[in-house]
Amino acid sequence: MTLEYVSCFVGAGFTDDSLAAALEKELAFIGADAGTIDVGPYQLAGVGSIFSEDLCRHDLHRLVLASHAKRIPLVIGSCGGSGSDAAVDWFAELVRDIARAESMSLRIARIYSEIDRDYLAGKHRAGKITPLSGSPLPYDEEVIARSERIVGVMGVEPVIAALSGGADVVLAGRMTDSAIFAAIPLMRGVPAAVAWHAGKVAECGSAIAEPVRNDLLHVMVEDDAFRVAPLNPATRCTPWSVAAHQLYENADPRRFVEPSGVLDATNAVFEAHDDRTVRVSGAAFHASPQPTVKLEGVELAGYQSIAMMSYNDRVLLESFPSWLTDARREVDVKVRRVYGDAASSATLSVRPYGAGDGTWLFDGPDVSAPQQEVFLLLDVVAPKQSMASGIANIAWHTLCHFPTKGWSGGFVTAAWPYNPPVIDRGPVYRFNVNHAVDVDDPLEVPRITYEEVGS
Amino acid sequence: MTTSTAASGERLRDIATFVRSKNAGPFMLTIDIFFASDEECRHVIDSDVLAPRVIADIYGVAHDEVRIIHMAAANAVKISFPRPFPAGDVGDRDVAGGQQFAPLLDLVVPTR
Repeated sequence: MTLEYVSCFVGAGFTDDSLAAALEKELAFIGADAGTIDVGPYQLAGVGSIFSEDLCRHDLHRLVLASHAKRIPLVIGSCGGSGSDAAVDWFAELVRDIARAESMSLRIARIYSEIDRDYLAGKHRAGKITPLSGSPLPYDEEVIARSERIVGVMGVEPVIAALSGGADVVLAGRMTDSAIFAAIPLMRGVPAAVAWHAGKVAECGSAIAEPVRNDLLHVMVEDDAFRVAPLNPATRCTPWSVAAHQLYENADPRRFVEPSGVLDATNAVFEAHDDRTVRVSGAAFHASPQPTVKLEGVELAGYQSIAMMSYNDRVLLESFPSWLTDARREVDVKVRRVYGDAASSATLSVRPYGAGDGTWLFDGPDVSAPQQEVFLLLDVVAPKQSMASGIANIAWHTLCHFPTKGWSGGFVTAAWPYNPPVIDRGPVYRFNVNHAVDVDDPLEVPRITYEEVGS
Repeated sequence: MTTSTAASGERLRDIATFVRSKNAGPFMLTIDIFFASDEECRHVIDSDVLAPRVIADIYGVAHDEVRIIHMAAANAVKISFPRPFPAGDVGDRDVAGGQQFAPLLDLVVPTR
């Protein structure tokens, strides 16, 4: 048997020509990923999205029209960046608007993945929550209680249930990228190894092509292999480009843990089918007797304020490392004058871009004297917004006017790009779980609701 | 490409075709180093210039937390280890981990 589909990432875009080319294929469905956890905790906490509403609406409009024209399902996973319930509702609102504007009748399934805290606390008491390899984070009922939001990463089962329930458009909360694309092939009897490996390769659309493009990817699955090719003729898949993408954003390109088992790509073979199509075979899928749901959760870390400035005064730059040390000391004195002992509940970081220490995540290297220019990003996180704002204000004012020993006297002033100089960024969050929970049934966490639009 | 060849070999940046880093989930960082051929990739791996203890020293992580994985189909070697704190936590300055490969670029690989 063969089964074809196309994939893309909602908001990253695709060309109308690629979509037209897709519509000439015999497609079983259109699948799209819309989320990732890799860019931080903000989306899950409910702060903004990876791609803005205009970009998501633009892509969704075309995808809904195309799937409706072909009478095939549209499956979207990890809606709105995080897959939170609110993000699923946001995408549902966009799809509803599109259906009404185009006078379409649609059955929409929303699959929610947020997890009830009492359910999770019960699982904790029963010893059913285990840390993922090497996780240093403790996880207990206290952490569960203070979490702002917790989602359970779903597999194919709720999507299969929603499609069996007659959905034309499936808007799913947090799920594994591969499961978005593996659900329908598995329903139609494609072997698990092919369905899951094709889903893994398809997850970023034609980002697996060279040159890399954000565009639609055409996938054809067969009984013992699958083929991938970008729909945009300006780009192509090569055995190297597809294999290389398998390394992207994962710690091990041979082993991918899914809720229902493990995809083992150790023996995968990537071959040229033609000059822009790659055939992939050889992976295995080992079903797990114990279904698991990986948890993703966030908690409030505080409130943030930032400010920025720059110097190109070469006299100051020559002694920049000691200038910065002295200025920081002055900032700390002033902060303590206003906030007393409470100052220790806040963190202030001064990041000197251009002095060798702006981008580095790990300890060291030491700050050096910048050659031409230095950019300072001041970042404060405090238990209250007013305190974060106040400390950023002190740091900005001090660092803007702190004298350099290179000049004799006088009042220096930095360059700064914005006024007011302090920008309050609101609440900030941190990830607080790296665990998986054993479930009796993959459908015990997800909740599915249906609605008819335009009928 | 200009090459400043050290007496004992070549810089990694001059023999690799592409080097990148990225988060692998919010708790891990992963670095991919690609070469024009798998032979070249094997040479770099065999030279021990990317041995776990070397990586551990550069990044200040425990050497038993560093994983080195060869992927012949991509002419690539992958290096994975934990981030110092989860992505986007207070103090993060590279939320997706995209620029953390830089210190590896000037490692000197012994000439074949």
